[in-house]
Amino acid sequence: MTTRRAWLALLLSACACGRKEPPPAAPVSALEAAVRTVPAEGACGTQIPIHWSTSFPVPSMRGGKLHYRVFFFGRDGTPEKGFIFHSPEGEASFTPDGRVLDCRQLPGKAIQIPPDPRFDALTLDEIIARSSQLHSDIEAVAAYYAAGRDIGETGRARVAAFARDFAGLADPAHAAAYRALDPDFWAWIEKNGGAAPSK
Amino acid sequence: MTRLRLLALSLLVGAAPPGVEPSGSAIVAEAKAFLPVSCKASKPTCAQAGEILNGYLAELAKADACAAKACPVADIHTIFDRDHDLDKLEHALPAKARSAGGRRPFLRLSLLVVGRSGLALALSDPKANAPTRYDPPVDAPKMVELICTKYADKCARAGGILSTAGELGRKASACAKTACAFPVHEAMAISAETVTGDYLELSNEVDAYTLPIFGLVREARALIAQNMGRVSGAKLAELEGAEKDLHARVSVLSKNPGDGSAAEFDELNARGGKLVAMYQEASIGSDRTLALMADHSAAGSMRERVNAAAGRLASARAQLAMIKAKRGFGGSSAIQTSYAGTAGGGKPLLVGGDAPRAPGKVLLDRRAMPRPPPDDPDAPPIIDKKLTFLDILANTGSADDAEMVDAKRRLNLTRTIGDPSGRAKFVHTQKANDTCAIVAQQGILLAHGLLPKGDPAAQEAALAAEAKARGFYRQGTHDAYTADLLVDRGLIVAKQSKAPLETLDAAVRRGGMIIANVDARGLWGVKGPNVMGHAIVITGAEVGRFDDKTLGYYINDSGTAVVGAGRFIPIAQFKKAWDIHTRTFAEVK
Repeated sequence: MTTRRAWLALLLSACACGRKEPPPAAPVSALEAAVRTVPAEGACGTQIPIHWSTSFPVPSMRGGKLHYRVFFFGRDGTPEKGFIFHSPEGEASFTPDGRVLDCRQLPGKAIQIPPDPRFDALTLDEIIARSSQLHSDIEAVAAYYAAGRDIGETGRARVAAFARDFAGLADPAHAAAYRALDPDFWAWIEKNGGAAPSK
Repeated sequence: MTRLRLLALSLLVGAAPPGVEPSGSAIVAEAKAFLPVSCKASKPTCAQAGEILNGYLAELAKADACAAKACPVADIHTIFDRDHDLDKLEHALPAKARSAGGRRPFLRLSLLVVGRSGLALALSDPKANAPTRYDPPVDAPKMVELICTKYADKCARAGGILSTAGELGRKASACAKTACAFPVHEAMAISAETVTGDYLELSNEVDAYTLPIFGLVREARALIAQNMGRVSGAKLAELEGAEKDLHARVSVLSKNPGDGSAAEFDELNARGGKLVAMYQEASIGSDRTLALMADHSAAGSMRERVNAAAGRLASARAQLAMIKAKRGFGGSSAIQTSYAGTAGGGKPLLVGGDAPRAPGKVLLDRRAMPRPPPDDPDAPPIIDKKLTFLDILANTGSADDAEMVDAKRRLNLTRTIGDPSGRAKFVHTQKANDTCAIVAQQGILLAHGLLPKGDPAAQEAALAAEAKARGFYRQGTHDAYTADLLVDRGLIVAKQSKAPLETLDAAVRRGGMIIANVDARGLWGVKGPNVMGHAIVITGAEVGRFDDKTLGYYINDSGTAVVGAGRFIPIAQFKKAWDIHTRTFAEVK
């Protein structure tokens, strides 16, 4: 290291003292970690194009064991002109540890869905934090759902929190698709004081 | 499943709109009229055909009687069993003796028997189940007949799926007994994936029990996967062995630079080229096996071994090129590569599959040795404006990461890795919504001299069509097939999934071009809860000169209207985009 560079480095370290390091990202739940990799796992790795978006997961007890179901959808547009998302074009189910059970593209032409303007006032970091919270809610509610017994006041409070967070993030235009992922789950949510995606 | 099947067959018999489906008497008449046709087509099986017809008619009479007046459930089960036995006999008839004009009249009669038996069962005991069985080779043709009777417009498609699945099964069985060439296996794998998609599409359109048809498709897929796995595994083992020999000799040559004649270098080069061809088959075969086995829980992956082999092969070839250049045996910028079958010939090799559904012919050009990145690479400006020294100094403490790295770079306190400026010209704004990975591969092929210069949009469209024909692209590129167009053209690629940023960073620091799948929201400033998958190319990095910390990456991004050519992304921003997606990347070695 030359003397001049060393001095410069010293000077810079002084300049950089006022620089705030960003806060560490919140830990990601096991469910959210699984959802992120689902498009590349198992059958999805050859069925789901990498540019498609993944829905929020919906718990399901079909077959007697807890698993999750998601749908996938593409988009049109550019960052400059804005994006329009599609109705579901693929779907998958996976175990809580992220093993894909089945995955396929759906037939038929996707419908374009107008953009959801609710997030304009938020930063991306805030949206991502809300999304992480929703995944935690889903995980908690899924445990109650899988237990198959009365969930008590605490459980109903979790259901209410889940339903509120879900309504705040999931695109209303995908409501029917979310309900179709597992109607039994949404019936259970309604039975326990939550609301299914609006009909 | 059995209930569904019964329901479907009951619908066929009773509840469908009149005129759409043949009546019971028309089915019986058609079957009776077919007997002489069958006998004429195959005299030796004429008696058997007569037994089948009479058998079905007898069971139909019993089923009709039980549908009119309740019978013991056991009696109805016997009708089902007898019907299945007759189905097996029908299946055993020569093709010409069981079908005419694409129809199988005896099977249609069988559908009638099962439908009436279902009604009889419902009458006797609504809770009773029909006997369960799963015999795809026998049941699938019957379900196709069911689709044909209910949906005339879908009959040809259903028949096509059945016939493709059958043909694939036969070919795969033959290839399991007698070795077939890799392109034959590949063509079957592509065809199997396509027919699976066709089946799923059809099954969503018809209200009928179609699982036996899928059973045939699945059996064919499994057999093809077994073959493909075996062939790819053998090729990989062969590659690993041959690599060791090449590596050993190259190591000796690098320690004793005086050794080796020009002829030996040529021979080693040719050997390296053959190994690249082996690598292609092992790598793409591994991906295809995984794709075919994806719905089997025991699916395994050879990817780790393929990656390791890719690394060793790339290293040996690079060393060889370096020694060769030092010795003055040819240039250092390119290595002559010959693929299996070309044996050093100068013409490009056309590789294609054979029926069924052969992939489009793909031109494999002679592969240029990737040029190592320059020792002191240039990079596009991070912030493109003039700043005073004091501004720069102040910016070193900026909360804006890009400003901070820009300032440090201007003060020469960072160094650039890769070749961000040199590679910035190999990107254009993608013309379709789903071609980000295609354009990423296009840029890498251009950078390696494996595509001629030309209209980028036309090249993008041609590569997308090629990827579609090869099964790498359907409404977009799938993770498993990322970078396989590169492998097809002889580039050596290592693919990683669920990789932490540190693994990606290590690859970036090796200086090659990397296709990374990311969440583009953070790169594009898009707000919304939907993760937006996107493939970009990492062309280089900026690292601290003193602490060696990665400060950010240069990327080529085809997704923006103002093309992101050599755009700098600070590492914290990149990490968010990386962590939220699948964390998969492909590194060109």
